[in-house]
Amino acid sequence: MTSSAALRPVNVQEAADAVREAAAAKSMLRIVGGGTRRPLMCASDGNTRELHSSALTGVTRYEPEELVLSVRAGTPLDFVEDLLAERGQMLAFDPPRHVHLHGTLPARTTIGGVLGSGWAGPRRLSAGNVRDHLLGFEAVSGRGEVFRAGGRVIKNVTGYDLSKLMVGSWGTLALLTEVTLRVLPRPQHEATLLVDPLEVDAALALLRRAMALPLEVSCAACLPDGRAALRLEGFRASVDERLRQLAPALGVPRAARAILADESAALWNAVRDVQPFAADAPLLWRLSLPSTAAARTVASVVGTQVGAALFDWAGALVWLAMSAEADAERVRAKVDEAGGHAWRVRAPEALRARLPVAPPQPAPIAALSRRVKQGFDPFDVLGDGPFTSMNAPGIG
Amino acid sequence: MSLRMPAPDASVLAARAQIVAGLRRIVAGEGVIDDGESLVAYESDGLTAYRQLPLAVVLPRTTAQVAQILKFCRQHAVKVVARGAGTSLSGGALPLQDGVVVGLSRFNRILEVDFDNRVVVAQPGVTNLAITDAVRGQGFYYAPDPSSQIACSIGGNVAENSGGVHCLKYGLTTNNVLGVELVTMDGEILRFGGRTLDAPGYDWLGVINGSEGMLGVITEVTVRILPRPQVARAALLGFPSVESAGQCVADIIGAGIIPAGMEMMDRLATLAAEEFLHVGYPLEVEAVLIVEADGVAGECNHVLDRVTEIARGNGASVVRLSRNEDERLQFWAGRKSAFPAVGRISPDYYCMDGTIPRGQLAKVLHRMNEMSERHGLRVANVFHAGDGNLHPLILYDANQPGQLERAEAFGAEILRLCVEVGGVLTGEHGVGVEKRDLMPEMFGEIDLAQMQRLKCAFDPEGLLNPGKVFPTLHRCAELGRVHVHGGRLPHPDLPRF
Repeated sequence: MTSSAALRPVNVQEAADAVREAAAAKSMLRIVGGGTRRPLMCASDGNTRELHSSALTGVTRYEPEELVLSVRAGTPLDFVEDLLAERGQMLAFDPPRHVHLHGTLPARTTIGGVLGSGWAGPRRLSAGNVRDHLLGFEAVSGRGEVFRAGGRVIKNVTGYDLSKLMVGSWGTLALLTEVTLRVLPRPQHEATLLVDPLEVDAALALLRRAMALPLEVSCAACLPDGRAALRLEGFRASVDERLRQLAPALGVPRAARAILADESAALWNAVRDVQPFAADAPLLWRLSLPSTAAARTVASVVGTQVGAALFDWAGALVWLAMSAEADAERVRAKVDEAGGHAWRVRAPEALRARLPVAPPQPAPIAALSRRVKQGFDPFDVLGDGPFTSMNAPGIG
Repeated sequence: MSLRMPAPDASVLAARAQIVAGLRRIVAGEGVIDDGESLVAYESDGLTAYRQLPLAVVLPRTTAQVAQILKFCRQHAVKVVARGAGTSLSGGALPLQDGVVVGLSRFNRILEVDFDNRVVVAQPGVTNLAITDAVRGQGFYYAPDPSSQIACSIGGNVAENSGGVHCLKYGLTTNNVLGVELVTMDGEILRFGGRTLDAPGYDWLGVINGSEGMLGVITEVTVRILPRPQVARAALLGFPSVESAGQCVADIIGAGIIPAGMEMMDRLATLAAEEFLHVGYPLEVEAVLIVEADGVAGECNHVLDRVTEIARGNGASVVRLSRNEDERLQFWAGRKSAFPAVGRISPDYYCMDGTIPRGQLAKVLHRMNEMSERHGLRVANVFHAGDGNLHPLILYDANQPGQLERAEAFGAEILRLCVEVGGVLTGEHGVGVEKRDLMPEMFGEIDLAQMQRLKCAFDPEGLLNPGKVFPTLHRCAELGRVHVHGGRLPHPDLPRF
């Protein structure tokens, strides 16, 4: 439940005023971009108002030759990507659309929301995570102060890298108002090698072998049907040559075929947006695992059930769909054992309280999180986002 | 040279014998250094203009010892400066008179090479190049390659977020580190990241990389390794003007090409390098550009064809493509030895490290030439053109009275210019003590206070490497409650450097 109408500041000063007023009134704010990830946030009480970034939009500086784009944080992701596409550029970290997953249509993902969650798509494997592409920002801290960090050049070690701290902080430290992103040329051509279905552990081993080849595989996934998919992007001559080398180097000459250009892109967009599990699966997890432990860990939870998992990032990211609730609680235990962590993305109403969204953090790190949060948001105006563990008893 | 550092704590200076004895209880024998002669080896880092003997040096071998040392120092309010190989060019490891230097040189083992997950786990004292050496046989390498890579340590690389000549394509240290073990001033051992990607919660690795030894002492680093490209080829290009070389760089990026490396040298740097190594650089041009492509042969051929076309379109008078590996290395040899080459034509030089938007290069070089005349000092320029990182080398003679001061004033003016055109004070060398007092050129009081609050979360007493990065030594308690209004300084009584 949230109280009264949402706030919609139209500039950074109004945003700062809103935060200061909330602090003075001892009330809380929840930052909302497009609202696509609302179901992932902790429940809020009647003392919380939503603060929408929907009026903080627009491009403030775009310099294609400098590979730099500055936009206000409420700008819709689609708008940003279309603008970049006009100049043959892109956000290389491949931001996903999870509207279907969370059932939050017709919400539109904003650039601020993408940065707040810090979740990247398949190309994260080769191009880095969201955090690797935020060069600088302006924000309003939970203290109601406007501050800046970073810059608009890629090579910058002037002071602590607060840009990285903002990415994946889910709006718990500050409200991003303007962000400067690194952009990259859109590849001229792409191809995907599809290998006929294998056992999961064999498929993941194949993906790892592909990543160890000097062929610049940009994305590597094992699809729910057991097919391995390997993406090559770049100049046409380069893609063609790498495609010719790839299948023989992996020893899969016959049981493989390639899809090109748009067909290849469509496949990876589906992986990015987790389309195989968009509609039905009642319980959905996002697991981060060492690739070498991924097949075993998933099997220990769902057995050899076909179609339950989508392995991206060469096996380091697993989208795990579960129909029965019986095994739900084992997931985190098994993932912890393997040294990974688990986000609960979707769950039936009855299970939500028992299965927190964000993975729990070790006590010393949770305590450190508290202290960092205190430095940015001492009055706890901005709440804990999806991180219930930050409030674990006896911590902080 | 005068540099204001935090006032030494008289009670700590007076207790030196007891502190040394306490450290000896943790690290026995030669692991604690307290005699003046041996301490001299630690009095400065790569920024030799600043020197200070530390209270003592301790060389632990284990993470448990590091934890005990930090706990002991915190109990006795003793400041700590961590030191890797001591190659910092910004004074990041400059000791404090009342501080203990924790040297990580004995943490020199590679703990694990995991080709399956493509990571290497190393102790912080391992050199940058040793990581590549450990995986070279299997066809892998570690991408960030600062020019000091034979000497600098991976722990120091993390502390400074070191770069190199391949950052545009392969990123800085922060983009290649997957995990860190860090000991806090409390003696708590924390592990961040590791073999899985994107640990939940705040991006600790993001803030630890480049934190200049102020958040904790790094005791283990996990980095990702990459398969070495099949082919690398380079183009050596000569231009009649800095403007045409700058335009060529912009056009290459505009054509959708991200070269593996793209380096520019001005006339003076080129002359110095050629005189030193005779690698065949063109001497009749104003700017030399080296562009490298890597990948499969088809990739390199395509990229170099396009680069050639673009270079000619911008009036390049010299276009040479490497035909074999020897030739490629020769193109690079001059650039890689540009610093020592400049060292031969001048008794001393001062290396700057600003980053600018690439498009501002010609303007910045022109303004720099004006400054050069005004200060009466020559300047040679090497430029990581791909990522906008500029290394002006100011030539001076420390034996001539006043020249060092003029060189420093010239350097500060260059960095202010970098900020003025939309760039930053430091691209890869760090703030340290060198650029500390210039931080307000780029950041306001509120921005700096917010950074310092992050430090407070790790080190509330401010014992780790104080006097670096921040121009004002705030107490954490003040930062906790202070609201800065209108950018005005709320506590004029606080020590400012």
